[in-house]
Amino acid sequence: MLLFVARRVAISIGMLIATSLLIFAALRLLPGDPIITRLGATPGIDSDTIQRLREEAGLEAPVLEQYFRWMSGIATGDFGQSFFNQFSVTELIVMRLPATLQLTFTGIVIATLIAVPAGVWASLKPLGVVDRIITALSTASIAIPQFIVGIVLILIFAVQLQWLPARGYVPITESLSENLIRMILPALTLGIASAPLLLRYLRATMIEVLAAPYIRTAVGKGQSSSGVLLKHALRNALIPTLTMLGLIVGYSLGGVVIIEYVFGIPGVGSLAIEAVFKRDYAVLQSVVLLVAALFLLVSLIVDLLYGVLDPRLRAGQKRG
Amino acid sequence: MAKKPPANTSHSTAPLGHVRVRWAETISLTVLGILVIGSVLAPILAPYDPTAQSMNRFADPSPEHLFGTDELGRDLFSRIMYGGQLTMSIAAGATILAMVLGIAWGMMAAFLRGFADEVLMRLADSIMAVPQILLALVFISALGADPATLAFVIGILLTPTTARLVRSSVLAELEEDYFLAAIAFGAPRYRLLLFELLPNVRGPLTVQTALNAANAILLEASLSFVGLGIAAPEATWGSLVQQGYQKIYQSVTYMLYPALLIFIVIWLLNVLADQLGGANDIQGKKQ
Amino acid sequence: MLRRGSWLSGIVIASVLSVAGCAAAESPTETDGAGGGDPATQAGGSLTVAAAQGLQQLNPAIRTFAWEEALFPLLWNGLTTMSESGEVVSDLAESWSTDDAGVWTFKLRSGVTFSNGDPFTADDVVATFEYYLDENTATQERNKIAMISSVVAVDDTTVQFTLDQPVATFPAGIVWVRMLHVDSLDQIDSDPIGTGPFVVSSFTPDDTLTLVANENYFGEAPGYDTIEIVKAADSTSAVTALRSGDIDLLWAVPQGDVALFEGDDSITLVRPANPSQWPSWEVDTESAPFNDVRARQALAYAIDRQTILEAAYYGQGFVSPTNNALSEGNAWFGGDLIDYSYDLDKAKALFAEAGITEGSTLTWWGVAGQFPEWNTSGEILQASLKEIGINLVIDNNDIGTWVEAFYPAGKSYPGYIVPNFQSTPAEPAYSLNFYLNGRCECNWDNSEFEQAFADAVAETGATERADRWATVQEIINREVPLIVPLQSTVVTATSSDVTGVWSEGGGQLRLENARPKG
Repeated sequence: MLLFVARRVAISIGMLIATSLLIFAALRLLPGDPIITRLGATPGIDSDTIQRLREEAGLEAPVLEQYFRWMSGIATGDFGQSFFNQFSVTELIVMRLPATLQLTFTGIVIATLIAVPAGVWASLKPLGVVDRIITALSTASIAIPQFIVGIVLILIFAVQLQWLPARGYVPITESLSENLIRMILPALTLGIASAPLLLRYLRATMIEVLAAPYIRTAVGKGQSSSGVLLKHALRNALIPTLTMLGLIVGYSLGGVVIIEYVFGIPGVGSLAIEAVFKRDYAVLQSVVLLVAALFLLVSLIVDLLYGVLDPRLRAGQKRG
Repeated sequence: MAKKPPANTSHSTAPLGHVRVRWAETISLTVLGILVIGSVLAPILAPYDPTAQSMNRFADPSPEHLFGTDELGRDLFSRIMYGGQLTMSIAAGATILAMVLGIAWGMMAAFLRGFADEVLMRLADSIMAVPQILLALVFISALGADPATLAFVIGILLTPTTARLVRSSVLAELEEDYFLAAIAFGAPRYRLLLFELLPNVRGPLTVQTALNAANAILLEASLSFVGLGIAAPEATWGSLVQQGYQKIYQSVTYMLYPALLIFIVIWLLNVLADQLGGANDIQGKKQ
Repeated sequence: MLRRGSWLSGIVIASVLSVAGCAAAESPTETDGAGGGDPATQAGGSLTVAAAQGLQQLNPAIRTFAWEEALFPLLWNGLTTMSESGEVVSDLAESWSTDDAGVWTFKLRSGVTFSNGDPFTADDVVATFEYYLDENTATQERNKIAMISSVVAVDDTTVQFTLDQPVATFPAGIVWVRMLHVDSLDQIDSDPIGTGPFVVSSFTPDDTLTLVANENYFGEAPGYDTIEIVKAADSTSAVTALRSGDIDLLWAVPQGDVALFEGDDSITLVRPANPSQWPSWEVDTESAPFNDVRARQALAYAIDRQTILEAAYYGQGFVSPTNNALSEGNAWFGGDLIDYSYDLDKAKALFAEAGITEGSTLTWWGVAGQFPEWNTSGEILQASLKEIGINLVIDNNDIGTWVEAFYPAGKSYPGYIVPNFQSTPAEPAYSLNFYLNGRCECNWDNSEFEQAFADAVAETGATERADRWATVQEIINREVPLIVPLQSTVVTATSSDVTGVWSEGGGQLRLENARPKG
C-alpha cells in the first residue's frame, strides 16, 4: 500500500516539474518582458535605464539560472515578487484565492444540485420523455461556450432586468448579502457549464445500477422504489462518479479563468490572465504551477481512493 | 486484413437500448454540411465585400442588410459568412493536427507499453493539468494570432486528450483474437497499425474527431473573447462575438448571430458524437 | 438517443439567446439602482469610481499607467497644481518667485503633516526631488525637471531650486511631482504615506483600492468619507453598472457609449474644457520609407480625419487638419501651417515621389483587444490606402509584443505605423516636448527643431514666446515626424448626484473636490 502511494506521489511530482518547465519555457518565448510592458511606452525612459531595471529584476541572468532560482524559491516557500508592484506572489495569490475558491465551490455545488436530481430522474425511465429532454438540455449546455453563457446571463439579468449586478466582487467578510448577490451569475455560469458532465455520467451509471438483478428483486419484494433508490442505487452509482470529480474540478478550474475574466472577479484566474498580458512572469509561473498542482492533487486523491477501494490496483497492476 | 466482428454497440453497458437513429445523424450532417458549404462558397454567395466600409453604421436588419451593419458600415451577413469560413478552417486545421499527433502519440504509448507508455501518458497529463485557456494565451501571445498559428496552437492543446483516447482504444484491441492472429502470421508493425488496428478503432476516433472540432471552435471563440483572436479586418465568429458584445448597446445582431452559429455548430457536432459513440460518451471536455 | 428532445432544447436555447439579445436593444431608461452598491448620495458617504484599467501600484513617481494619475490629488500634493481654468496655483507651496536667472524660491505652507503625523518640511521636498532626479528612478517627470542642478532647503519652509538655464514655465513643470515620504517608499504599495485628503485603507492590485478621509489633512475635509476605485474591464458591464447605480463614476467612457448618456438626466458627462489628448501615430523617421519627408507628408494627406473622428471616436473630439498636437483652441496654437486635409491624389503623388508605389505594403502595428478606436482608425486608413493601391496590413498584438517593437526611442521599425496617444497639458513646453530626440519613438533628429524648442522654452516674454512656439509648430507641421489626426475628448460619466468632478485636458480625473449634490 505504501509503495503504491509513494509511487503515485513521485509520479505527480515528476509531472509538476514537467509542467513547470513547460510554462517557464513558454513564457520566455514571449516577446516583450515585464519591464517594458510596465513602462508601456512611457516617454523619457532611455534604453540604459531599461537595461538597468532588467538587471535588477534578474531578467538578464541566463535562463537556466532564472529557472533554478524560481524552483529553489518555491522549495522555501518564496514564489517571487510581482514586477508591477511591491507585493510578493504569495500575497497576491492569498488576496485572490478566496474569490476563486468561493466561485469554484459554489459552481460545483450548483452543478451538483442541477446534475444529481436531473441525472437520477432521467435514469428512472431511459428514453422516456423526461430522459430525452434532460439529455438534450445537457448536450445543448455543453455546446455553449462558457463565456457566452456568462454574457447572456449578464445581458438578461443585469442589462435588461437589472435584478443583479453585472460585475464585481465583495468579500464575505465585508458584506454577506453583497457577496452572495454578486456570486450568483458567475457561479451559475460555472454550474451550467460543469453540470452536463456530471449528469451524463451519473445517469449512465444509475441506469446500469438500476438494471442490476438485486435491485429488481428488491422492488419485486415490495420495497418502495424511492427507498430502493436511495439505499442501494444512488450509493452504488455515486462511487464511480468519484472519478468524474477529478475531471469536474479540473474542468472548473479551467473554466474559472474565463468566468473571472467575464465577471471581473479578482480571483486567481483573472490574476493569471492579466499576468500574461503584463508579462508578469513571476506571478504567471507560480499561479499556473499552483493550479496544476491543485489539479494533480485532486487526481492523486482520486487515484488513491480508488486504490483503497479496489485492492487489485494496489498490487501495481496496469490499468488500461 | 482480419476484420473484427462488428461491435454490438455496447448494448450490454448501455441498457437503455441505444439504437442509432439514422435521421438525427442525417439532419446534423446536413445542417453542418450546409454551413460548411455556405462558408466555403462565401466569396460567391456573400452579398457584399466583408471589408467594404460605408456610412451606414449600425444599421438595423433590412432586406439590403440581412443582419444589419457594424461600426464601419460593413454588412454583417457577409462578415459572418466569411467569418464562418475562417472559423471552420481554423477548427479543421486544429482537428487534423490533433488527430494526427494524437494517433501517433497514443499508438506509440499503447505499443511500447511499460515505462515509455507511462512517461508518454504522464506527459499528456502534465499538459492537461494547465488550464487550456492559459496555455493558449501564452502561445498565441508568443506566436501571433494568424489563422495558421491559431490552428496550430489549438491543435496542440487538443492532442493530449486525443492521445489518451487512442491509447485506451488501441489497448483494448491488442487483446482481441484477430490481432493476436495477425501477429502470429508475422505481419510487420506498420501493417498491424494501419490495416488491423486503425480501422477497428475508427468508431471512437470518429467521435473524438467530432469532439475535437467542437472544442476547437470553442477555444478559438474564447481566445477571441479575451482579445487574442484574429485581427481586423478579418473576422471569425469568435471575434465577432467579442466585438458585438462591446457594442451591444448599439447593435444586437452583431453579437447574437455569430454566438448562435457557434452554439449550433458545436451542438450539432456533439449530437453527432453522441450518435456515433452510443451512450457511453464519458470523455470529459476541458474548457 | 434523444433526437427530438435534442432539437427541441436546441431551439429553446436559441430562443433564450435571442431574447437576451433583443433585451439589450431596448435599453431601459430608468435606473432602478438594483444590484446593490453603496448609497452614494448622502453627505460624507461613499463614492464608487470605475475605470477599464486596474491600478497596479501606488508610487506616483514611477506611474506608468495613466489611470494612476487619478490618485495624484487624492493621496498626495505637489508644490504647485493645475486649476480647473488651466492655471498653475499653489498646493503645498504658498508662493514662489524667481530671479529670472534660473533660481526659484518656493515658500511652503506651515503646519502640514503627513498622514502618519510626521511633519512636512522643506527637507521632504529636497528628498523627494532627489528621489525623482535619481537615475535609478524610472520616472516620466525626468525631462521636466532635468534642468534642476540643485535643490536646497533654506529653512523649514523655504526651498530653493537652481536650474541650468532659466525656464519660465518651471512651476507648471513640477505640478506632477508629488511630495513623498521618502523613508517609507519601500512600503508604498501596502501603506502609502502622503499629505493628501485621503489615505488608503485597502488595496488589491489590479482590482480595488479603497480610500478613506485623512484625519491629518491640512485642508478642508473632502466631500466623501470613502472613495472606492474599482476595475471594470469590459465596457458593457461598466456602462451597465453605471446605469444601475452600482458605480457612481466611469472614467474614459468608450466613445461609442457616450451617446447613450446624452439626454439622460441621471447621468452627468464631464469633459475637459480644452481637450488635449491626441492620438500620435508614429513612424520611424530614420528608416525607409518614412525617412523621406515626402512619404510622411503623403501619409498625412491620406488620413481621412473626419471619418476617423466620426467612426472611430464617435465624434468625441476635434479634427486637426494641420496635423498639430496642439488643438486649434489652444492659446499657443499658431504659425503658418500646411493644411493636410484628406486628399488622396496628393497622397498618391507624394508617396510615388518617395518610392512607395502601387503594390507597396505598409504595416499598422496596433494593440489587440484594447483601444477599439485604434483598430477602427487602422481599418479606415487601410481602406483609404487601398484606393491608391497601397496595401496596409493590420497587425494587432498584445501590449507586451506591441511595445517591444518600437520602444524605447532608438528602435528601427521600417514601414510601420504605430498608433499611440499622448495626454498632455495645454502648455506647449510639456506637449511638444514629445517630439524631442531621444524621447519620441519616431526617432526624429532635427537640429532646427531642437534649437527652436530650446529658444521657446528659454524665452521669458509672453508674446515673444508665442512667436517662438509658432516657429516650432511650423517646423513640426512641415516635417511631419508623426501623425496627429485629431484631438480626442476623454469623457467621464458620473451620476447626477455627484458634483465637483472635473478633468484636465488630457482627461486626468480630479476628484479631490467631489461631493454629493445638494
